[in-house]
Amino acid sequence: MVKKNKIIIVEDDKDINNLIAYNLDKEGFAVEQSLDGLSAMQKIEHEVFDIVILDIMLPGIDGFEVCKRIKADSRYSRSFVVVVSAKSHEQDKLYAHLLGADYYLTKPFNLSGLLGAVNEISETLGREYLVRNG
Amino acid sequence: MIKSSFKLKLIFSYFFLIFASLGFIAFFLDRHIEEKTLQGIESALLNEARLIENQVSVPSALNNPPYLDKLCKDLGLRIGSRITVINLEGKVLADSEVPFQQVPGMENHLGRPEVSEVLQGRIGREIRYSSTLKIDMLYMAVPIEKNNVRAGILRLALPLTSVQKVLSAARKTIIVGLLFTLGLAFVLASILAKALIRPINRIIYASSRFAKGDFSRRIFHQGSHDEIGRLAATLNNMAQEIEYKIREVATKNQHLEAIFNSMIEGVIVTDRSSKVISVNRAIEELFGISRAQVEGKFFQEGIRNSGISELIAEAMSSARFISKEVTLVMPPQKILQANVSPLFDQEKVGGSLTVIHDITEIRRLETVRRDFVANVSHELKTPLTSIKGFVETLLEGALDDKENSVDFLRIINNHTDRLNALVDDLLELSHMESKEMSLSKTKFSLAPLVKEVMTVFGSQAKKKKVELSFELPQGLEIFADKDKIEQVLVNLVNNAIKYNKENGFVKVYSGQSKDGTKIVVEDSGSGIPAKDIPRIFERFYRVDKARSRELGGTGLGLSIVKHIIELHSGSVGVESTEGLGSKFFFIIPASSI
Repeated sequence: MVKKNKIIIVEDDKDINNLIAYNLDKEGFAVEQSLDGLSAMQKIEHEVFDIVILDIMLPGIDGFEVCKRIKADSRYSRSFVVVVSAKSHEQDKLYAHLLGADYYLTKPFNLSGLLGAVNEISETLGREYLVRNG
Repeated sequence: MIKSSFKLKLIFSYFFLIFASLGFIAFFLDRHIEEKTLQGIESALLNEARLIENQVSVPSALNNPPYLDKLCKDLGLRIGSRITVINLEGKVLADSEVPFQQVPGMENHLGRPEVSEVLQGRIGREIRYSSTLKIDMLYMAVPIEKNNVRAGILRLALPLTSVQKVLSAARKTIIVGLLFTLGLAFVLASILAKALIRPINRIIYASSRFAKGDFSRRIFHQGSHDEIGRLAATLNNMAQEIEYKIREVATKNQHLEAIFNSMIEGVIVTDRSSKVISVNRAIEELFGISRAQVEGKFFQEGIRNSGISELIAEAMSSARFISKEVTLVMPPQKILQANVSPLFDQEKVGGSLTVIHDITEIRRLETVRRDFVANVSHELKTPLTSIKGFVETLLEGALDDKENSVDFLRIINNHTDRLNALVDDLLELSHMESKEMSLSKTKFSLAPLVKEVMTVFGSQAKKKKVELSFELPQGLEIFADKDKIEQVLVNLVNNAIKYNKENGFVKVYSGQSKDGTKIVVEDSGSGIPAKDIPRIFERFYRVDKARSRELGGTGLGLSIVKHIIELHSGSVGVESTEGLGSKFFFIIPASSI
C-alpha cells in the first residue's frame, strides 16, 4: 500500500491555501497549512514533509529563501518543492530551479496540473519506498 | 619744460631750418659787403693814384730823386697810403715808407703782378700779404706818362685793415641779428611745437587708456580734418567698435554663463591634466562642493569621484566620446549618467567636457513602474487563482459537498468583487496619472459633504460598533472638485472604520494650517508602525497584507487620496501612534477665487 505522503502548504492567501488544502485532503494526503515563511520553517524543523507547496511572495521570509534552506539541508534531501507563484518571469523560474525547486506552477494554476504534479511525486516516492524496502 | 623727444625734434627742426637759411643769407651778405667795400677802396685808391701821377709825371719830379722821395713821403702821409714810384726797368725810385738811403737797395719790382700788368697796358691791381708789414695789402699801379709816353709806374698800397674793420662791423651786426632771430625762432618753435604736440598728447593719453581696457574715453579733436584729426577720429571709431564688441562678447558670455548655470545637467570642464577649469551650479549641488573649492584643482582632489575621474582619463587618452552610468556612493545614493567628450585644441586633446545627468529619479521611477506592473499582476492573479481554483474544485465534484460548496461560492463572489474594486481603482489611478483629468472646481461647504459621507457609512459603522462624528465650522468652505474630495473622505473614513476596534470612534474635524484648509480624519484603530508611515501612501503598500485582503482592500485607497489632493496642489499626511490610532489629514490650499 502506498504511504500517505505528508504535505505542507506555504501560502499567505488564506483562500488559496484552503483551496489547495481541501483538494489535497480529498486526494488523501496528510496536509499541514502555513501562512508565512517563518512559521513554515518552524514546522519543517519539527517534521519532515514529503512535499512543500510553496508560494514565493510571502511576508517575512520569502519563498525563494524557504526553498534555499530546505534544499541546502541534507535532512530534507527527500523533500520535493512545488512552487506555486504569480511570478511568471522566466528568470524567476530559473532562479527557483537553481535553488532546487522541483516544480514551478504559475498562478492562476490548473487544479488538475497541481494535483497531477503532487500525484507524480507521490508515485516516485512510492517507488523509491518499494525499492528501498524490497 | 621739454619732456617729449618729438617736441624736441620739432623745435630743433625749426631751429635748424631758420639757422640754415639765415646762415646762407649772412654768408652772401658778408661776401657782398666785402666786395662792395673793396671796390670802393679800389676806386678811391685809383683816383688818388691818378692825382698823384699828375704831380709825379712832371720832369722836375721824375728826374730829381730826392724831390720825388720827399713828394712821395709828403703825399703818402697825407692820403695814408704807401706810394711807390718805379721806373720802367722795375727799379724803385722812391717809396713813402722806405727811407731815401735804402731805396737803391730795394729789389727789382718788375716781377710784381701789379707792375707787370701796368707794363702790359692795364691798370695793375693785386691783394697780397705783405711780409714787410705782416698785413693784407691792396696794391694799385698806374703808368706815369710824360707827353703820352710811359715814363714809369706809380703804385699805391693800402693796408686792408679798413676793409676788415668795415666787414667785422657788418658781421657783428649780422651775428647779433642772427642770434636774436634764432632766439625768437626758438620761442616761436616751442609755441608751435606745443600746439602741434597737444592733439598728439591727447591721442597718446587716450590710447594708453584703451590699452588699459577703458574704451569709454573719446579723443577730443575739434573736428579738425588734418592727419592728426583723422587719426583721432579713426582711433575714436576703433574705440567705439571695440567697446561695442566687448559689450557684445560680455553679453554673450553672460548668456552662456546663465545657460551654463541654469542647466539641470552638471557640467565639468577640465584641461588636459584633468585640472578642473569650471563647473556649473548643478555640479556644486550634486557633489556638495563650491566652485571656488574645485576650480584650478585636479579633478580627483576637487570632486573626488574615481568613477568619473577614470572616464575623463579614458576619454582623453582614447580621444573618444564615452558615456557610462556611475553610482555615487555617498548618501544619498545617486545614479549618474556621465557623458565625457574630449576637447580638441588644434587636433590634439586639450581637455575634457563632462555632462552629468542625474538619472536617480528616472531609475527610481523605472523601479516604481516595474514594481507596479509586478504588483498589479500579482494583485490580479491572486483573486483569479482563487476563483479559478474554487470553480475547478466545484466542477470536480465539490458541488455535492453541501457543507463547503456554498462557502466556496461565497469566496468566488468575494474575489470577483475584489477584482472589480481593483480594476476600478486602477482605472481611477491611471486616469489621474495621465493628467488628462481636469478638476471641476467649485466653492462648496464642507460640513454637508462630510455629513453625507458619514450617513453612507452609518450601517457599516454600526455593525463594527464604531461611533462616527464630525465637528466643522458651519461656514467652512473650500474651492475644490467636490466629487473628488468626497472620494477622499470616503476612502479615509472607510479605512478609519475598517481598521478600527470595537467601540472605537472616527472623528472628522478641521484644523489650522498656514497652507490652507486642513481636514483631519481621526480614528481609534490599531495605528501604523513608525517604519511603515513613510510608505503608507504608496500603491499596494499594506501594513498588514492579510488583514487588508480580508477587509476587501485593494491597496490603492490611500494612493488615490494622495493623487487627488496633489492634483489640488495640496498635501496629505498621517500622524499615528501604534495601538492608539491614527490621524490622517489633507490640506487644500486657500484659493484666491
